[in-house]
Amino acid sequence: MNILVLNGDPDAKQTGFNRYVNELCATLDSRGHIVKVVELRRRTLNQCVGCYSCWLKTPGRCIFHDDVEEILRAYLMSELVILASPVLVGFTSALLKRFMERTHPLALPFLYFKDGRMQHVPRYDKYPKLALLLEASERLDARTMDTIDAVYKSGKTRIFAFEATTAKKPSEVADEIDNSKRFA
Amino acid sequence: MKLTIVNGSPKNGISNTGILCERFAAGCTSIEGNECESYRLNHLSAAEAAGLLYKNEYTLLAFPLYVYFIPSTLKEFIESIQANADCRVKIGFLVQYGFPEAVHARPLEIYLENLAAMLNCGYLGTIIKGGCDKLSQTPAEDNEKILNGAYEIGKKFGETGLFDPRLLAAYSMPETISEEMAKHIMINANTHYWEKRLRENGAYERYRDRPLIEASPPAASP
Ligand SMILES: Cc1cc2nc3c(=O)[nH]c(=O)nc-3n(C[C@H](O)[C@H](O)[C@H](O)COP(=O)(O)O)c2cc1C
Repeated sequence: MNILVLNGDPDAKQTGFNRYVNELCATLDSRGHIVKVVELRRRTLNQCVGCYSCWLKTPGRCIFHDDVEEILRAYLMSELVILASPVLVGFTSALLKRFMERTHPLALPFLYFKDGRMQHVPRYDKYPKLALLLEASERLDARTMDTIDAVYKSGKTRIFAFEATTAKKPSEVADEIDNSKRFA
Repeated sequence: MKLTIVNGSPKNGISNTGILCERFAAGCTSIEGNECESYRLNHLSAAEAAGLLYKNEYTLLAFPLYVYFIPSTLKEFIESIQANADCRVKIGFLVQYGFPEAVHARPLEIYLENLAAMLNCGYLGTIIKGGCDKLSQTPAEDNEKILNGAYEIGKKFGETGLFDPRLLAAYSMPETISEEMAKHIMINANTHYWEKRLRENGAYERYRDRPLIEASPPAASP
């Protein structure tokens, strides 16, 4: 399976989490998956300024020509995207959030009704499933986990595969990924 | 009372958040002796913004819903500050956004209550209002209900120093909508708002473009 790992750790010095992500990627690789890792902090990602050009002026394209376009192309080619992040002030990193906002051109402005809620019509036919990989720490208590979970599952167009924390061994997370493939 | 309002919209120029904040401030300062200071986060350095957060007795942190959460610029700011250990500030939040239902902001609301505690502030509550996408694009007469609602919540706050939970609950309605209601809203929004704006930009014929994949068949109409 094509897997894109977006490492949203803003801090290169947090070697524990980064080492974990690398180990997970190596494990997935050894199991025959095609894995691409993007360390978001090394890339240029402009902040979405809510101009709506990607919907209303240059449909599907952002005004910023930075590294996001390349990442979004890889995103659309993947079957699974792993959103990896430490927990900072009760949520995933602002860096990862910045990327999530830049997925705006992947939708159309038009509304439709899905699972009892208003949503935006998808622009593309196929999207990857998403998974969250959070750094296990004392900051990630049950309430924080539930909140993160609820926010990420709010979008009904995105299909959520699973979430995991670094409390699990990389091989166990890789097992979950193999299982999630079975439930595709 | 003294209130600091920080508008956390990442937008340049006029913002829907700002329009609601103005109405809230007008309500609050309609009570004699009340003062409001308003700022935009994207015009401040992180240090300036941190100072403002803890400056007055009350702070209103307002922003658009971005992917079911606070905008990343606001999150980045929060990650950068040190919570004031000895703090008497009471903080309230205002979140407005495009979809009409309140349900979209409920997970965020739980986060914001936690956030107030992480900032060592008292929690006033969260004003939630959907259906705000077009506030800045349409005349005030078309949005009277939304604007007046913010004014009334601000006025009550100006009198009591509290967010009235009953006003907040009424303002955030509808919690969810029926399929029938959705159809009605969608026809309106899709045709009279989004399609109209695409046509104004001469971009309607291209609205389904898929520039990020190689050759692909066109998407079905919504
Ligand atoms: C990147 C991005 C993400 C958004 N996410 C949501 C969302 O999850 N739900 C929603 O209803 N509206 C969403 N919106 C719409 C804005 O919340 C809405 O347009 C808001 O009124 C903008 O306020 P402002 O003018 O103060 O920036 C999003 C807009 C952008 C640009």
